[in-house]
Amino acid sequence: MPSSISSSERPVPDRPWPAILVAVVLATAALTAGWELYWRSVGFVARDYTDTPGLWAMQRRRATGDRTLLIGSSRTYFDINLAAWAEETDGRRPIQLALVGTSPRGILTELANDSTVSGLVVVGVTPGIFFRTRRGYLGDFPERAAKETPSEWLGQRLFMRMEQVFAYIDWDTRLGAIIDRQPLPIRPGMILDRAVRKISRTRADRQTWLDPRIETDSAYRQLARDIWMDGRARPSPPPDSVTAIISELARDIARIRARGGDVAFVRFPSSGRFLEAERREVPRERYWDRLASELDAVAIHYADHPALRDYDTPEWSHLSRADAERFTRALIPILMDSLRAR
Amino acid sequence: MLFNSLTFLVFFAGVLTLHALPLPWKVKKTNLLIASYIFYGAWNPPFVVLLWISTVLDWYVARWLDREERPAHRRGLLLLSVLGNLGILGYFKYGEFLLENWQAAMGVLGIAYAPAEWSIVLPVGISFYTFQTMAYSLDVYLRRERPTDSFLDFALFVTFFPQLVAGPIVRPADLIPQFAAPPRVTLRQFVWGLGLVTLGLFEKVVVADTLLAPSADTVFGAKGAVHALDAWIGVLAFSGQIFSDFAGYSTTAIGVSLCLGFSLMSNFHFPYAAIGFSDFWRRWHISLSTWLRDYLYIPLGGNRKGPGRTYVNLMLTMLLGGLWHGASWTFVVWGGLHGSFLAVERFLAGRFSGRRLFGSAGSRLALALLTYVLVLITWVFFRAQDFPSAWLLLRSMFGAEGSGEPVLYWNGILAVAAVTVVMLATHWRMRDTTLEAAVERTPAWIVAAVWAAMLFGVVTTQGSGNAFIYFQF
Repeated sequence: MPSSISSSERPVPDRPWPAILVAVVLATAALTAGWELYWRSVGFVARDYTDTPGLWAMQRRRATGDRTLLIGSSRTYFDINLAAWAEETDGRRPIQLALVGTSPRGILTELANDSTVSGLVVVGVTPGIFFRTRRGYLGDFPERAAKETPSEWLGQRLFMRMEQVFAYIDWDTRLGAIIDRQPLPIRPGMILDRAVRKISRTRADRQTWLDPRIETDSAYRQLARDIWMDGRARPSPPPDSVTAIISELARDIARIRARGGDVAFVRFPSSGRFLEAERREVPRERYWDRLASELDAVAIHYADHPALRDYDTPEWSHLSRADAERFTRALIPILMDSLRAR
Repeated sequence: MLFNSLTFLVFFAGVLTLHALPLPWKVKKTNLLIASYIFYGAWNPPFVVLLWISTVLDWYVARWLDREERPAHRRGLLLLSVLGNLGILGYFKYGEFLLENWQAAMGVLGIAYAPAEWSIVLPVGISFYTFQTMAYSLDVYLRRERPTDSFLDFALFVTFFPQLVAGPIVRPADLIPQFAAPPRVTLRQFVWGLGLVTLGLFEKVVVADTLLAPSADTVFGAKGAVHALDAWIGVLAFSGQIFSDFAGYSTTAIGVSLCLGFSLMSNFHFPYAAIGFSDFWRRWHISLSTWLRDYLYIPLGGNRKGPGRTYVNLMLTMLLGGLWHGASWTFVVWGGLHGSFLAVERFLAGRFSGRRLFGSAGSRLALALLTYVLVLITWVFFRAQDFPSAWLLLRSMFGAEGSGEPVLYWNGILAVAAVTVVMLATHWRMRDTTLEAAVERTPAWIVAAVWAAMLFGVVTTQGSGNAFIYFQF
């Protein structure tokens, strides 16, 4: 063989390896236990699942037939209580497919093109996202879920097993997130743009609610609000053409209706400076009102219904856990009546 | 499946358990072969068929080549192997690239040619196992080696899961003989193997993915000119990322193999301490550079046909080496730059040989830093999406784009700077020794502490499931 490389038996350094291995296992176990205890002490809990393409895929595979499907952004994700929905309807929980920071428009098209989907699709409209893009923060989830490999399929299930035991497993506790949020000076020419901190808890069926810390810790709540305002300072793309959006939605609605399903749009509550920014950037009369009037579909704006107003949105954008359940129970009769009346 | 995944952890535990059972060696090898197909199929099961095609093709071609004495027939058989392997590689990896260039060439001639959209998924690691299996037929053709009598051993050589998708590209003579008899796995070897796995995963998950990738992605993904500081930090970040990612994979592969009782060659040897480009290529992706040397550069004539032809052979080898990495002209330019630096170095070495100009430690360090800076320039073409992006970043690095936009926060800048300083200092200190020798000199408690810290880093970073960069090649 001409190669100058010899891969004859690799040398093993002369060290007391069994003792080293025992020390490593014990030290790592102790460090990990300490890490776990720390994160539990600041409010993290086990069985709080990370939203991943795999977790989304588990729900997407169930989204067939006449099941009710929920799509939208974080408000649809946080503000609907799946158990309350089941109790107020036919006993079946809707399937939660909403994605934080992500527009449901692309997902609606994907559902419209899926011949197995023939139920009600509830579309949450967060104006600053819905009218700006068909994708958004987690816009690649549907594609990644569709291309899930056998390895990823198994990995998701193993990961969830770990999450059942360890509270520290969370994107907010990762080393990268911890480094990124260290308060260092901002360079000239840059703006403060902090990553969203942990504000929710999620179950295996993607039932999600606002993290209790937001409700109980005023400093943390204020931090969450400030970070929303960081996002408002960031340049955003201009909204898409409403006419084009309506045309795209009408096409998707027609396809779902052709199979016996239906589509309804819901504008969930927001408040404070977040609501002010939404009113300024994506005014209701130019966007939501056109969608509601020009689309032949149910469109429910929380502000139009006394039963949907005056709920608690601690960090201005999402309902508290208790109010998410009350809101869900209040929404169902309005939604069902509207669908029957259409 | 990815090394940095829970799926692999479970898979590897299963493989180790089976491997430790008191079963006949042939059964254990069959287990390893099946495990390797599962490892590969876990990405995309149908692509296992490609492995079978490569395996069967080169098995029969090599046996025939060994018996055949007529030169023309032997050349024909070699052509069959090369065309078969490169045909698969070309179809999956270079098909779209060729089509685009054909379309552009037609456009130059004024012919509007609009081919159908090319939507072929690239089988992971195809460049690695194609080169590995081709080496087998080439060795038999060149009468360097006799073919093995065991189809099982050959199939396992093609498919051996630790190095299947990202190397090291193992030579037949280095691995096949290891399958002949059961290896003796000692506890020391096993634990050291686990240590290498931890080191490799730390490099990948903590250093590459967590500390460096975000800054590299931000800078290389910027839409316009960036501030010079950001440009340099972005390129430094990528240089560390690609080393940590790829060396991390190789180290993990070596550790996994060692746990099973097999030895794989080292693929990296502290490359950023290289003094000159020939030194760099003795330290970077060693299994590829020696493959190209033995199966391309030397058969082309190497340095035996005069200075002019030597330079041509050198450049041709590096251009093809660049293209091996990806179907894009940016990779070809990357290879061309390395070829040019090698040629210049060869020329200067010929002119200044015997002079003691660069004998001092200071001048050696200066040359190493110059080499590193030039390597950084080449990484711009390697990582950039296209030439305009590469030029824009190069101009940003050297202040030709004015002040440029700052895109990195201090958090990222400091992380990249700290990793770069530690990485360069480590490479320099380790350039004339080996990891094994350094560990042997280190007190056991420090070895344990560093290992535990790395493992804790991997556990708490949690990983994000990012694929290794070299999988795409």
